[in-house]
Amino acid sequence: MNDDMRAAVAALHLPPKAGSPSITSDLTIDESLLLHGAGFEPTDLVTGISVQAIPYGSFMIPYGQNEPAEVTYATQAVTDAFRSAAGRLRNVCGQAGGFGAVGVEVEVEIGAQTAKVAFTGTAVRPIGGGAKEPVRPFVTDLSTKDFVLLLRAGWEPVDLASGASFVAAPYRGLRQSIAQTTQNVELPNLTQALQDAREKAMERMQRDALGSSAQGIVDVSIIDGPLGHAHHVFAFICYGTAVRLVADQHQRIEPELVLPLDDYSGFEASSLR
Amino acid sequence: MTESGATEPAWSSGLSTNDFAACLSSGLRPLGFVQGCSVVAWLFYGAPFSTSGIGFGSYQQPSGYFEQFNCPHGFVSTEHRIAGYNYQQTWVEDAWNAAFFSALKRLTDEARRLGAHGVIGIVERAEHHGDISAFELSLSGTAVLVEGADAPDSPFTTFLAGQKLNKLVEAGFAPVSIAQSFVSIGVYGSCITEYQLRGGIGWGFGMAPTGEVDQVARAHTAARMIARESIRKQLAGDVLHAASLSARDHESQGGPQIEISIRGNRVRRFKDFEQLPLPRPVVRLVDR
Repeated sequence: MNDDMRAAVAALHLPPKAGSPSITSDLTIDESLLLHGAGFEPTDLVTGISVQAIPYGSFMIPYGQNEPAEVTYATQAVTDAFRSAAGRLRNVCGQAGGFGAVGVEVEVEIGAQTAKVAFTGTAVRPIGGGAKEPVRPFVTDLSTKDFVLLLRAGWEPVDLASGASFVAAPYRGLRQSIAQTTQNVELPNLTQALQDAREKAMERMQRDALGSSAQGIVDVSIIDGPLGHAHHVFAFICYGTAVRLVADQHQRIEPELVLPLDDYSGFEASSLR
Repeated sequence: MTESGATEPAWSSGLSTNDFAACLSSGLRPLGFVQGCSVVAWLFYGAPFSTSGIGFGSYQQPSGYFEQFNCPHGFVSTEHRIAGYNYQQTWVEDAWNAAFFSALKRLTDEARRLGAHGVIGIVERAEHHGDISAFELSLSGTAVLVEGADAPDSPFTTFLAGQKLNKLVEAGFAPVSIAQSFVSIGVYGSCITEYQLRGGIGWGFGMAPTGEVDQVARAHTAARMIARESIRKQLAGDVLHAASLSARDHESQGGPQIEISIRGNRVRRFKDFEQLPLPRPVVRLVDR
């Protein structure tokens, strides 16, 4: 190790190799090594962002509405924002010579008038550039570890599938509202709104995955709950990596059982009693 | 000799115990806890340029990224915006760069005075002090000596320490320096952008156009691309490792202000590295 460190310091006296490309990546050293072991290398830090408008009044509920109703402008804005951001990330990835982007961080912001979706990840390609470029770079929010495991199991990521729905809960009737005062009981109007939003969003996400010729979705993340600026509107946004089988069949991974001999035996405050 | 009986003066370090142990095992000797800081005035956002491109007084001409978004309506009224602008605020970036590079220089100067070969485990603290319109940037880390190595022309710097640094070196990368880029873009919305950000035209004239807020999306995209290109220029053929991108947007001067910073470790390959075998998957038979 000491020799390596000395060689590393000695290398600082020399300029970088002529013609070497400047590579940017947000991978840690463990992730870089793991990726390298799987035959991939990073090419560039890539981003994609979309900001969509939501017209004023979209979150208002018409007086007397007694059924949950979808806030279509908000739903459409978030759906389009995911699609545009992914498309832009894919373009940047292709320009950087990447076959796809891994470890994509997804940032979602829903305001009263705008919906913003931003993706940041690292473009990767087979070591040395690979035989041919893919027609459509993949996008995945899987970590490098999960990406490598997925490949090993005979699957490949295709795209980041997403679905969104915003549903406005109906008003409670006067009698129901008074009856529920000071009682901790279920609020069926809110439950129903959340349930409706969930079903619509999940269905849209699955349809999105099928549209990219995927067979399934892994590692689904969910953002749900009432909006800060419109408490009666429940949002349900879900996204995950759409995958398809590229091997003849799923490659079973047989993990080895390991019994570590360094069990935790640290200080516990309860032992003082 | 010190009062305690030690034969060498004591040193300080910002390393955790684990990082300290890893540092010693890889032949690095801590010399001292070093710091560099800078406080700059942070007063002015906005558009100090004339759109005709002619500077006036303290006004500057636009430099860097600039994009104009024309009103599609023709003349509506004198209060109607005929154009919107996205403009790179190089004067804000200059203030940030002055703070960062001054702090870095002070950190490395202090390390050099200790005879260090590098500074590891650098921690950055950046704070806006609104009450005094100032921005503070501090860097601190542990100056180290590589046993048996010749001193480099300038001490290397890295955010890494401990096992992460050891693995980096073992994988064939030498730490060169920490690298950062900062981009600030102001958005002066066109009429359409204003309608979209407000949600409507106002006075009951109807809804804002739906779809992409093109001007803001383009500003965000440009900021990210410029930040990446700027940090890539600093690399000169090296690799940026473990980069992180952070975005901050806030309202000022009547429009969104978008600030993107990218930071990471500039590293240089000094030896070829054999491809690792794929790791074996294991299940640990412990609860925690």
